[in-house]
Amino acid sequence: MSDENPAAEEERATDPLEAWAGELIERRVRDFEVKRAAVLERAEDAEALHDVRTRARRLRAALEDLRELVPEAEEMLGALKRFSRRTGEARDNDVLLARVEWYAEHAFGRARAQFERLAGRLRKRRGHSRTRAMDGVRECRLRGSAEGESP
Amino acid sequence: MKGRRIAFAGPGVRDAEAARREIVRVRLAEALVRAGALEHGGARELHDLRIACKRLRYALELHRDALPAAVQGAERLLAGLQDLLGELHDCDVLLAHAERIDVTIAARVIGRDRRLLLGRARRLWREAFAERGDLTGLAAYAGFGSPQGPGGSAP
Repeated sequence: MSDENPAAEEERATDPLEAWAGELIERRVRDFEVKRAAVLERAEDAEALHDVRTRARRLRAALEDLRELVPEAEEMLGALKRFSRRTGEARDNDVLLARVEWYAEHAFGRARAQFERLAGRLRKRRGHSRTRAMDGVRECRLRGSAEGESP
Repeated sequence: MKGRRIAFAGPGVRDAEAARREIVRVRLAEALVRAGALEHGGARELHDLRIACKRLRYALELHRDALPAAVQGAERLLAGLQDLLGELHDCDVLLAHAERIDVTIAARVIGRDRRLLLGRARRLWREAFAERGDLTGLAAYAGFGSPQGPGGSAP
């Protein structure tokens, strides 16, 4: 953007549609950052991780809708994509494990034993995915990200 | 599934209301073209429909205060549909795990639940487009097949 002439930059900054989009995105960014801070304070809380992931999805959806009007959209989308990838496995695993544990609790005989095996497989993956998720939360930078990955 | 890029440079998109309508139009169209997945029942297609419904729902949520009352029910409907499609997706992932460790009884139980969830999702979608259904008002707002909307053409 720095290569453009100052008049074009000025026009962009005062464009009412861009201002409107910028406000909507800022609201979503604030929601996300509040929840990100919460999960850093409560690292073992699975629901806090779920909350920050839902805020990330909402922000990502808004950025995808409004990317033509938000100059930082691509940078933020790149950061959010990395965030989702690193935190997704832990959440998905928790949800699947809860479902399988429910099945095991309500089953009998061989069916129960099979669900227990399935649950064991999911439990094994838990520790690693949780560590990866917390790294993802800690290292997420929406603006000024060092990594140049495109969304 | 990548969402379509929305262009706001067209002659019809001059203000926030026009931009909002354009977003809803594009995201609703993405969901509509994927709704056939509910009939075919394939895992990949249902997953794409879930993502499309999620994008549409989040767009409605972001613009909730500015949207007409006739479209308010759509958000709730999409949340319900998204839950069902999410559970369906969980069943598909669990079925893949079950296959890998050869637990056939567990797979049968999960498969039965998957069929029930698919049936419920189909019903919900059909009802949403009935007269005064939750997505009927949204389709009209987006301009699909209604004189109320601008243009009325699919994107």
